[in-house]
Amino acid sequence: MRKSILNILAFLGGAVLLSLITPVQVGHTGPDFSLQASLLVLLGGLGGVSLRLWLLQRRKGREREANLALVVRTVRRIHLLLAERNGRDELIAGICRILVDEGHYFSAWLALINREGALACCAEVGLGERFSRVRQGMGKGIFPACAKKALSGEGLVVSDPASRCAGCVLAADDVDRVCFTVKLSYHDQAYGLLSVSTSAAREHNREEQRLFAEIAQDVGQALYLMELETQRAISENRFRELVENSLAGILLIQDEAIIYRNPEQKRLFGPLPANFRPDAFTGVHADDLEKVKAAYGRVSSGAAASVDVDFRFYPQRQADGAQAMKWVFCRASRIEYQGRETVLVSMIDITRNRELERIVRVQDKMSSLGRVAAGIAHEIRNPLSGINIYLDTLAKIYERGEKMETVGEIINQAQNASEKIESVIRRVIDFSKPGQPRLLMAEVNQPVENALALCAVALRRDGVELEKNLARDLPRCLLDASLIEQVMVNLLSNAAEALRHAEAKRISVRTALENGRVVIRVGDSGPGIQEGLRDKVFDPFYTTKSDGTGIGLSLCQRIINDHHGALTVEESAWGGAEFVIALTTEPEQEG
Amino acid sequence: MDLFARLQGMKVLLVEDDQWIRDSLRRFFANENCVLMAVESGEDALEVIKGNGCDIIIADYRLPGMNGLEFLKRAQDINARVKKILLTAYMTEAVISEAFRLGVHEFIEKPFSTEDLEEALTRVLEKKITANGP
Repeated sequence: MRKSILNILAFLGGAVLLSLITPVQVGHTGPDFSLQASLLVLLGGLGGVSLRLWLLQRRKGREREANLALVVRTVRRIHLLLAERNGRDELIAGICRILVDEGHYFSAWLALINREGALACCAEVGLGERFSRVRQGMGKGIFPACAKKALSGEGLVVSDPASRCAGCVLAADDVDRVCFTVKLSYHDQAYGLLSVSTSAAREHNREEQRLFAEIAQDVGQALYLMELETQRAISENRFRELVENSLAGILLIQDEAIIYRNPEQKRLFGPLPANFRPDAFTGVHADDLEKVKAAYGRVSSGAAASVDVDFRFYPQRQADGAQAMKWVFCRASRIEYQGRETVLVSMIDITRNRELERIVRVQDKMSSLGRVAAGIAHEIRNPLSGINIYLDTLAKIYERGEKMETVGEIINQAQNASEKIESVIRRVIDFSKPGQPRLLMAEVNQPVENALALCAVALRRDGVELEKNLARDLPRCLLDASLIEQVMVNLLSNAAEALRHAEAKRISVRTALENGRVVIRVGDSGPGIQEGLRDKVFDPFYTTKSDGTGIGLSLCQRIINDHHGALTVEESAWGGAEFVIALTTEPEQEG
Repeated sequence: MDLFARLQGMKVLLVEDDQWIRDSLRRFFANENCVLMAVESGEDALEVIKGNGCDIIIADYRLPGMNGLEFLKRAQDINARVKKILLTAYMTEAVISEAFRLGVHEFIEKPFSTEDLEEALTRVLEKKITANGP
């Protein structure tokens, strides 16, 4: 209507103007005049309309230019906002503010939804009180019609609030306006909605709509990145929490410097000087130094991805001067941390375990000794009786002054008996001597012989027939002789125990080289161990003896494991049990 | 009459697996101009008894193979009048009652001195030995 009137006015204006500037034949009358005048008026009118159209076009072009500049500025502002990486709430409020304050939108609202489609949070500008009802509704899962449509489909939803959204609170009083609503999504994941209201004139402005959809796309991507960042932060937090609260001491080494220690590690190692170099191995027990150096070298050089090693060390002196030795089990692995080669060292405090283990070992030794005590007593009492008899004989010779020529020989025999007693006592003391296991290259037959000597009398008295077959020229093994002896005494007295009610009482002890391993076999002719129980006998506290504690075999296995060997049980040639100790002939590689 | 003077005409057998005791007692008896036959096991001792005869047996309780009591029982079967002395490192009720049942005349607890042995031998010789047991 308005356009038509303007067009007619332009037509009339043009016609009048042309009539005025063309003063010819004024005063003439007749058909000639009227035809000429009509043509002029028509020409002037058309010129007027063309001028109007040209002016209109120019104005539209300028408007479009200004509009585009505005949109671009808005997009740029939004990008800057996205780049600021603010929190989620700040971001969505900021987007609404920019769209309204800097763009040409009357109002804007933005709602974020979670994975289940429920409202997570929302923001608005330009709607005020009216929005709070929508917010409440969305909180209960009731979204406006345009929002539902946008969420369920692709692309922009254009709606005219006044005519098509009757009943929508956002539409009240909005005359001559149009709403654009679009889903904020990235890679098929919907993050929320963005809705703006603008002049109805833009209802068919495709360019405008396309730009708005692009803004929504950028926001969707930003929300995706934000979610990623949040997840990363959560997982990093969780990881940090895990590390910080870990019962294991954890430290990170980069370029031979410690870059991180968790609280447990700080508790274990105590304060470290600023210039502390882990590769100096300060405080590591001298006996473990070589082992630790070798293990660390293998990881830091890349020869192994991960190594396990246990070692003793003296923590840095505390403020109170206390410096108790600690024992840790430690795993070192190569990892990439912050894009760099890093050695991750985690360690647990096994000081208490080792202490208890030591006590158990000592107790086990004592109980083993108890089991062979009768034999040992015999071994001491017999030569002692001999000495007594020799002394009495000497006394009589002295009294009578006869047979003086035999004195020398008698004294010699008494001395031999005394030496025998001394050797028995030494063996007992060596056996019960507490101490940390020290693995040295040694002959395996020696501790086997020692154990047999300790048990020999007890076995003979029990009527056990012993078959001994020790291979000569066995390769040396890394072993702690006193521990192997302890294991052997345990196995021998177990075997003797198993033979208590057996008719044929036989024990065989053999050493041999089998498949590159030095093997000690202790077999008996007892009832044997059922197949199903063969693993169970090594369980701590498993026992079939009414007076036993059961710790013996589990400790034996532990000791052999410490030797990087294996203790297993098989069936002996006589159908009884045969315990097999297999030891490696080369020092086992760590890791 | 002196103990060893009386023992000179007697056959004394020691059954003891320990070399120290065998050697030292043999030496002690030799010093008294007496002969002590000393063997290691019950089996060997039975051979001696069967072959040479025997008046007094001094046997250890724990012996390889058959134990001292079992040996004494068999020795008794061969010679009911033999005098029996049991050597032992552990005097348990069970061993003592079994020994009494067998008619063991004396016990000597290890470690022992020659005095203990002399006393036991003296008492054994003074006792009027009657065959008791099966």
